Amino acid sequence: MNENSKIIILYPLLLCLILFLVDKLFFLPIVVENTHSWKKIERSFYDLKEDLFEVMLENHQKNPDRKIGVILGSSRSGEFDTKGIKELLKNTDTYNFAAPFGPISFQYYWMEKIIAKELPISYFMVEIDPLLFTKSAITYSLNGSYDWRFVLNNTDYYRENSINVWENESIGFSVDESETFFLKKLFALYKYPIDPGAIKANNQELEVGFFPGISTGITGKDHKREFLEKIKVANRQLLGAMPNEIKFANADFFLEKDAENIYLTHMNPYRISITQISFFKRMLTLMKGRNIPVIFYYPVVAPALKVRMERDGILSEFQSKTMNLISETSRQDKTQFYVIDPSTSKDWTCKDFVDALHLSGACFPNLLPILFPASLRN
Amino acid sequence: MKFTSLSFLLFFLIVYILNWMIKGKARHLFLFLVSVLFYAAWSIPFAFHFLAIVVINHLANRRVQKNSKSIWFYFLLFINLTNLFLFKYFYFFWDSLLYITASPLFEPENIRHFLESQFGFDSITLPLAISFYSFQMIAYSVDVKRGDAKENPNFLKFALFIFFFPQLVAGPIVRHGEFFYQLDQWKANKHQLFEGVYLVFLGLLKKVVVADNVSQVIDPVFFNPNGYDGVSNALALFGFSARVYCDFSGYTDLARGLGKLLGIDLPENFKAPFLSKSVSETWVRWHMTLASWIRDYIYIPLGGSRVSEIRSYFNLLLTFSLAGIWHGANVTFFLWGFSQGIFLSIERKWQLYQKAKGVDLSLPLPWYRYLFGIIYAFSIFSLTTAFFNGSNVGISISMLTHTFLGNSGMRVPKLELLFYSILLTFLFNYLQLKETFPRKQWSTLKSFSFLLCFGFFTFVLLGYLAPGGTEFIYFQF
Repeated sequence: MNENSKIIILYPLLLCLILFLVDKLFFLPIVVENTHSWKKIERSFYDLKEDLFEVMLENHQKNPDRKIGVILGSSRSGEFDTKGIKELLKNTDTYNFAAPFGPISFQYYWMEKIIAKELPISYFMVEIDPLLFTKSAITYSLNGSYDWRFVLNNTDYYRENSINVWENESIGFSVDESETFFLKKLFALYKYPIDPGAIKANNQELEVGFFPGISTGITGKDHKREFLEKIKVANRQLLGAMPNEIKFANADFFLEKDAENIYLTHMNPYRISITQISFFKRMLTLMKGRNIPVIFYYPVVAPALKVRMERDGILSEFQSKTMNLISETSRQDKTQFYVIDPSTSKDWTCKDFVDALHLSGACFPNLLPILFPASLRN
Repeated sequence: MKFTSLSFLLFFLIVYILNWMIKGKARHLFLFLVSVLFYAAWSIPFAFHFLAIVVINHLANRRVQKNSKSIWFYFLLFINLTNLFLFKYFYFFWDSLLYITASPLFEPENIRHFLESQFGFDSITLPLAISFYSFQMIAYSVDVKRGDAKENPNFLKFALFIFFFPQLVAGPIVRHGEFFYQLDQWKANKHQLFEGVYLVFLGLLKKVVVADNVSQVIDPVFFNPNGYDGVSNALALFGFSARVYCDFSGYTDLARGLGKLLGIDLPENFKAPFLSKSVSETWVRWHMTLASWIRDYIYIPLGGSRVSEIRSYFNLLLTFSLAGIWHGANVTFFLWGFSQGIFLSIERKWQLYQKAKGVDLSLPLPWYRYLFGIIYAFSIFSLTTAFFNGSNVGISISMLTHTFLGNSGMRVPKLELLFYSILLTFLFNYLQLKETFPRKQWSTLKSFSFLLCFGFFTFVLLGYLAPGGTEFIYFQF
């Protein structure tokens, strides 16, 4: 090959390199501030769990005698009041690693990381329900919430599809999920796409809720900044929890409509994720024989949604499969698994919901004692 | 490994660099090995199975090359067709027997038990690309027997001809005359490399930005047509035309682009098919490598159009029914192919009638008839996709019924996306008739700058509009 040909074959490589470098400009904070919509701020909960982990390690260094409780789950578990739990478990600080739609893979990720630090763990609370086991549940968490080594080491390169997903022997993420994670890690335009609507919304002043046209005086960007600060403060003062400030109950017709929307969006058809099942099994194996209490919590949902899930048999099948797996593993010595479904408890009386998935903030004092049974408190 | 995946991007970057570093015939070996690796990423056992079929074909073809009357030709036909039948059509055949005889002997459970007890697995997996590589190998054998293929390649060249990874999974179906000569004259060519990069970007745009987004809107309608109104059913059919074009033409652009980047030109598969004025013209411009394969190895050997009028209609119906079945072992594909044959026969009759009336068919059409022709051909193509993409005949019939008679179901959301996608699809078709890129008169800097802008534009749209990704439609064939 002559010199000219050698130069020619470099053109496509040079082109790729320039495009790759240009893409990196879109990772600059000043650009992300504009492209990352304030309406998608909930994703930041995932990123800021690293900050919470640092807080946990710092606090442990300062007070090594205090025990550590860990809550894992979705936004529903993110609302548990740390101070309320402290009244039930006196010598325990509860750190809340729950994130919106936090799938089991994300829960396992933090469980493994926390276990590796050999901290004095008082308990783990794990939220499990059909929604967190859907294929779409992983979407938020693939935005860079895992360590890249974790994803690489836990990718199932030769996953076999089987009719019975609960019997599947997969070891973790599918190749497609892993690809999505790395694409978002490597390419800014994939993680923070240029969405004209988002750029406009970030630079516009927000309107006061319920009063269209009346400005709050702050832009979407400002709101985003404030919200991120709020999460950081919550990480330090409330150890990651964000108690639900909404104390009222929404009307039944609204809850029914919301339940139908959630059902149609996520469960029609119900596509269960082999990835989440595999991480759930690994979670059980990880906690087997450790003598650390693990509370498996079936979250309460509005009656309209529960009826919808029961009608199609989704809920009963899900609960029976997860119960079987938990009870099989709990036979092992020094394994303390608790399965708690507050909806079957006679003590659960406060049943007000703000939407189909979230309990009213006023009901948490009633729920907490059910989740932490007397045997655990002692 | 999907062409649209990150792992493929990394794989291809390494292959590209090494391909141009390795000199001489070692390149054949290198490209063959990476092609096998590409296939093995899907399944290692099937990579060995595929390799065995290629070895058998090569050895038998050598015999046929020496003696065109050799029995080895028939042996090869038997091997290739049996391989295709066993993996692709066995269940279809078995279900048909059950349907015809209603005998418990043909219950699916029996075959499952038999496979499990004898071989340790309970079903037959369809090997990736089997329809494409079988047709390519059959075509080569027939050409060797006819004396049309005189290249007499060594094993590496023949194996690379079949295995070459850019075209392996879903074509284009390459003929020997389009491939072997290129293996001996590899040289980096700026024009070819630039076109390769352009086609890769264009293919990604078609696939990820249009096809995958349309898929999200129309799939629920194809899944449950009774739940949607007539407009939604009709637009799902027209939307599927946009989807299948952008998906398959996008794949072909990617395959051709990747081939060019490795120094190999692969044939085009589409030439503005949706700007055709008739169904017969559509078939000259749609999936051209399959259409020409069918013409050369089925239609013409049957006598083509140089037979009696009635026989020519029969030839069309048989040829297109077989083409339908090639796409998949399902009655719906047969009906799709058969319906194409019906429309082609009607058009042929109309042409004969016009000729008899003394109409000069070679004269250019006035614009309104041209437009009417495009609407007619596109509509027929779209309406018959009810069979192509419907999972069973019931679904296909429901979609067509609701399209023409209406239905009281709900309106599918994001209908406007279908309109934009169909418009974009016609734009892509129009561009296939125009000189696009690279332009001969452009300087290197101008071409490079254009590619940089087009690449950035593609990146932005991929990030903004990529819905998560679906498999290429033609990968299932």
